[in-house]
Amino acid sequence: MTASTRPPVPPATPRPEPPSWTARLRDRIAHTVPPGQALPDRQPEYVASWVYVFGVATLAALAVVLVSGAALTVGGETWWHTSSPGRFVNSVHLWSVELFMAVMVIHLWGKFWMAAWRGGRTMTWVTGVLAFLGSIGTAFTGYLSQTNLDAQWISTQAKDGLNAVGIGAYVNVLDPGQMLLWHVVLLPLVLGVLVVVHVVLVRRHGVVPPIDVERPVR
Amino acid sequence: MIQAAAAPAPPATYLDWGVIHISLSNAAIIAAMLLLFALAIALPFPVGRDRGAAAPPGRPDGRDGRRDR
Amino acid sequence: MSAPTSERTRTSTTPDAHGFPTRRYDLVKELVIALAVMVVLAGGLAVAFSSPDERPISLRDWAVSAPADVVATATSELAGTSPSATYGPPYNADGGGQTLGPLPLQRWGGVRIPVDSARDLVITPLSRVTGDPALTAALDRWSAATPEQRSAWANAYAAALGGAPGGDPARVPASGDYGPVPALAESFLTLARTGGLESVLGSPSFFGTDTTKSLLLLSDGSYLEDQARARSLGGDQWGMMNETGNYPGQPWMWLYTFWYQVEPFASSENADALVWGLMMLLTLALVLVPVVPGLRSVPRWIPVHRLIWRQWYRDQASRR
Repeated sequence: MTASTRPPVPPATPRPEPPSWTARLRDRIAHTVPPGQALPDRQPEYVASWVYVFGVATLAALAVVLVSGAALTVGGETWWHTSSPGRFVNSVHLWSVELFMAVMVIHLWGKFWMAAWRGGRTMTWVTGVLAFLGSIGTAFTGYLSQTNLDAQWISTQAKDGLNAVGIGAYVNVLDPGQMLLWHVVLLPLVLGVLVVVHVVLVRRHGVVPPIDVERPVR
Repeated sequence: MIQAAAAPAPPATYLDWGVIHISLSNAAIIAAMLLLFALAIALPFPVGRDRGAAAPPGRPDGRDGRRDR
Repeated sequence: MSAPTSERTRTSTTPDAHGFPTRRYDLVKELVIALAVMVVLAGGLAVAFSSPDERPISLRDWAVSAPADVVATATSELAGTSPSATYGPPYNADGGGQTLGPLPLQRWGGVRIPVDSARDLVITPLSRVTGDPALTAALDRWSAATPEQRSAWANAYAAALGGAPGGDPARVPASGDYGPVPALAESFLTLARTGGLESVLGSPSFFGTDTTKSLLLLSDGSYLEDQARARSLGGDQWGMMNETGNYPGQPWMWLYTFWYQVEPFASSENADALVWGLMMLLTLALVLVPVVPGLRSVPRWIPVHRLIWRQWYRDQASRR
């Protein structure tokens, strides 16, 4: 009997297979932001104020902080004390940090007065504040890593604050080796994760509409 | 290794008012930040004339709008 | 008739941002411009102002610049009265430590960085010195004495130093019973002058980056603090915000350091714990602004947003 004489058999209903981990992760990633919203080339008409540039200014300043910081690691822990290029790199790192903190705080002011946590954006606010706090902590370990008079004073003072609440037993600010590693690796990683989550959330939910807007009037 | 003896920085200028004791540099930074914030809100932002359609509605979680607290 | 503001707040819904009319906007161009601006600003400021870098105080610097302070500090270590000797956790159990109300947080941290000030900061470094019979004899006399005898000698010498003009050991009356303490303190100063004290205090292993003991010793004296206060870096000088020289410091620390300037914190022995506790509360409030009633409504009560979105509100009103 050949295949052509066999009566057609209705296909059996396939038993649904559970999606693989890979498929589940792929779908999660694909649905993290609405289609086309990861890098949109349009934005809502109400986004029309200079106060909105401080978010991207913060990211830009952070980039300069990271690059200058990486350049600073090239020569080791103390090279910038005796090297002119090293001193310049250190200066760029210091001033980019001052710029970073300044524009980040202005960004926070703007987002507060816009009540930007509305519309399901609570976690955007929370990750932003945590990134702000993480930045302060990262900067603190940076000041401890200067291997100069300032670092000597800051460490011996800060130890009192941390020891008073028991944290100093685990975080020894008098150990520059430990503090340098926290500053260059541990805290930037934590901060990096916070920043990425924060930006993804902004793209996911979109820029918060103005207060008391019921629905857009076209 | 002998660390280059960086000359002690010149004494800084401080402003005092009641309990407040702040360096001129820090005061300048804070003042500049406040000014920048005020300008950012006050100055008009240049917008193009292009008015397009709304982006496709629908959020990845299927909910449109969230109840405010 | 519109509902009262508070009710309207409770029932208002923020519409989906993706349902609004849009305009073209180049985010990548915006980022590139921002990057260029930040590079130019940071680079320009670096060229114009450089950065502060005051040399650290070596223990040799300390010995040369303030020998009386070194002698007094070594004596206080031997007497067990120095700040590190009476600190409590994490260095030792000889102090109660700070509390946050009823909570002994400092004690809860435990003694995890054990430092015996007299032994680790003075006696052990001195015992490494060879070829000095007088010093060896003094060390032997010290180690053979009871804790009470050691304390009596060291406290008597500390008092005598305090009474001598300029704290000069040479002008201390010889009639007191100070035991081997003057010899130990004098030898300690000599050791500091050689420049080798840091390595003796450092880790016994070849590779050591832990400067805990050197920093504890240095901060037990007054020279470091004198240098810091001269630069307005002291805790009651808003020091947490400040930098050496005319450079900007850490203006974002303004609120943390503010509390140390005012009562009840300024004169409290638990100031560090209290300020930390208060700042943790305020920080929590900042994190939780979206869910804290009242706090989350401030932007409505003080309508800065009407300025930010004035163009949009005007357009919407004219279209209605």
